[in-house]
Amino acid sequence: MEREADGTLVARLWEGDLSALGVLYDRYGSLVYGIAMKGLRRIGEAEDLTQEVFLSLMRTRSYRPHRGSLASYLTTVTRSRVIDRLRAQSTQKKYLNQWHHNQSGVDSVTPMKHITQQEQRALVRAALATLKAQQREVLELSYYEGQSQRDIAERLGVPLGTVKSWARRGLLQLRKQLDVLREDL
Amino acid sequence: MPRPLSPQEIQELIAGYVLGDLSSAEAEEFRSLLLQLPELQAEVTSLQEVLAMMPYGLDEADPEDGLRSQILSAAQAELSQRVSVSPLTSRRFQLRLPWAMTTAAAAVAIVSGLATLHLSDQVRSLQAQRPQSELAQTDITQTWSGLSQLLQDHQQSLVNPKGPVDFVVQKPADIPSLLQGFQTTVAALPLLPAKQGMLLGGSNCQLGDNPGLRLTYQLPMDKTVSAYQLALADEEFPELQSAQLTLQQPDGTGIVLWRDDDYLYAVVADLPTTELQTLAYAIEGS
Repeated sequence: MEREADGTLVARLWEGDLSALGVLYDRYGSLVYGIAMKGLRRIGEAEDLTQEVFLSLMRTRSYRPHRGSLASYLTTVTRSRVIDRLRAQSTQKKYLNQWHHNQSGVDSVTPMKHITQQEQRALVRAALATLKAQQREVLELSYYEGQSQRDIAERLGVPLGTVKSWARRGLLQLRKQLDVLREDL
Repeated sequence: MPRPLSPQEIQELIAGYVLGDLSSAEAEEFRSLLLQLPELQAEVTSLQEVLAMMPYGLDEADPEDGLRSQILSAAQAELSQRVSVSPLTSRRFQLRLPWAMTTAAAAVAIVSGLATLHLSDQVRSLQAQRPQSELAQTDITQTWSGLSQLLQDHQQSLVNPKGPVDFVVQKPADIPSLLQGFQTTVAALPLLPAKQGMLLGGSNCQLGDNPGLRLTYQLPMDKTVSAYQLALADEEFPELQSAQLTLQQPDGTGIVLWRDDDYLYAVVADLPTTELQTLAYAIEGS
């Protein structure tokens, strides 16, 4: 059976067709929940946030298919809400690491669009496994919890310069490995 | 001239930029590098895409079976509620912007010393057409979903793994041609003098039915400011005349709104209101 495109399902959802929401949940529920669990670490909260993300997909109508895949839209929204919640929970008023950087805006279509989510997961997992433990830890702390490099340095008890270099080299290494692995596909 | 950077150093600088961890000296270095070598932009995009793939590396976590039906019933409940309130909504908003009252809840607003807006989730009329004096006397209780959308848009831009801007610009004159679905002139843009903040780039945005743009500036101390310009018809936002509308969220995020005949403008940042107002004046005056 032909797989119905995400964009079509979203359009149906906006017309009030809840069966479309069910299908979208079956496709991406686990991805959204996984990010929520990673950051929030509590089942109840992760479920609550997953619900919030799917309801907001229905409510806000801010997804634009031409600007990128639904998967990347949902991961972005989820991550940002996780970080909002962590920030709200944080007793110390620390500023989030802000991702002040830019994007060309031309190509939001991921080069991996043609492969399945399962293949994508396997690929990224294999690439992440080649990173040094510290590189991976620093990337994860800043990505999932929005921690600043300074906070991470404090938490791990290492100089700020070291944290920056782990993160930067980790990211470069991740790209290199993904490129290698993609060629093997 | 400083010595040229090695390819490895350039790569690390780009990675630092994508990760948002450049020091101010590095940011300056990166900026001039990008001017010399615009092709580096492709590298930036490529690393942003790699970063955005991180969630695929998570162990698969399957939510409880009950969550699916719970979400579907919540969606169902929301849909039926929406149908029942819609006549009210349409009567309330001859204004086309969805300045509907919802969630910005705990925010407290100050209209340039004239009146205090207590924002709550109660549904009240916007009283948009009232003259300023009457506005001042009326202790208006309202929230605007336009406002929470603005906040949400700003917050999301800050944590977007792909960066807060759709396009990078070297000079403001390039901006109008990069916009989609929104037309403006360079003179009408919310431009901040260069010495007050570095322009990172611009993004198309849509708040309710209203197209517009967001310019993102970086201030010293790593503060990121979003400056909005939204298309408006006359009846869509209260005539605040000379007044700016300043609001402060409990989490420290502030907003200053103002309008002219054609556009609604806003600056949003995690800054004290006085600093935000200074920025708003600098933009208005530019």
